[in-house]
Amino acid sequence: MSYQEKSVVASLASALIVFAFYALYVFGMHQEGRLVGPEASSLVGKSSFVLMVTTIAVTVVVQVVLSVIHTAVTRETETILTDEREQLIALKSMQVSSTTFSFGFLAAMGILAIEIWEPHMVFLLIITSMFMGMIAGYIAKLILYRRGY
Amino acid sequence: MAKCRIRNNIRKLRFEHDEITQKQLAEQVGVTRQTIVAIENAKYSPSLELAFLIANAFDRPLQEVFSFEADS
Repeated sequence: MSYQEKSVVASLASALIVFAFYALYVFGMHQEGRLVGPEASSLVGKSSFVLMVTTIAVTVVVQVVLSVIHTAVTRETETILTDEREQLIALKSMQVSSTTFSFGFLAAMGILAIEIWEPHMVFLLIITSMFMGMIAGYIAKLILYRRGY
Repeated sequence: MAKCRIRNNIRKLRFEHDEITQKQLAEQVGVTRQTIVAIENAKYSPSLELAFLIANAFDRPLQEVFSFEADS
């Protein structure tokens, strides 16, 4: 497994863990009945902000740790070279990611239009779609790396 | 995914050129070893620029390194 593949697996695992914690936190708020009334949108907004900051921080830490472990084990620094194949893989995975997010976003707008959910629940659906898009992008990247292209 | 129809003789040429490794060739043309592996196994069609760089690395004309598999 190349360094790039390990990096994608690490990013995928950290994104899943962070989102699992977020989902548990939001579900806990829902169970406690805090996601009702005018404060619900504020709570969802705050938790989403924390989620984004945490995701960035965890991704940076995981990549640094992976790089250190990789260098220690293989005795070679990982390549910072990004060639044409890797750029194409990145573009294709971004396409998969955007398409997945678009479906979630369209569903959220549909739900908002027919007014069956509260606006903060729609916002949670958009956040979930963003994560699903991210996960789909990582999976697409991993498949393309494993296949060669 | 569209089937890759670009064939190549990179493996043969590597052995004819002092058995240079995929890593050495990758360093010479400025790509990762995985990209050379993908090209060699016909999983990825290189850009024209990269194809020329690979041909230059072997000091051969492009058509001796790469060939196009046309539809019959």
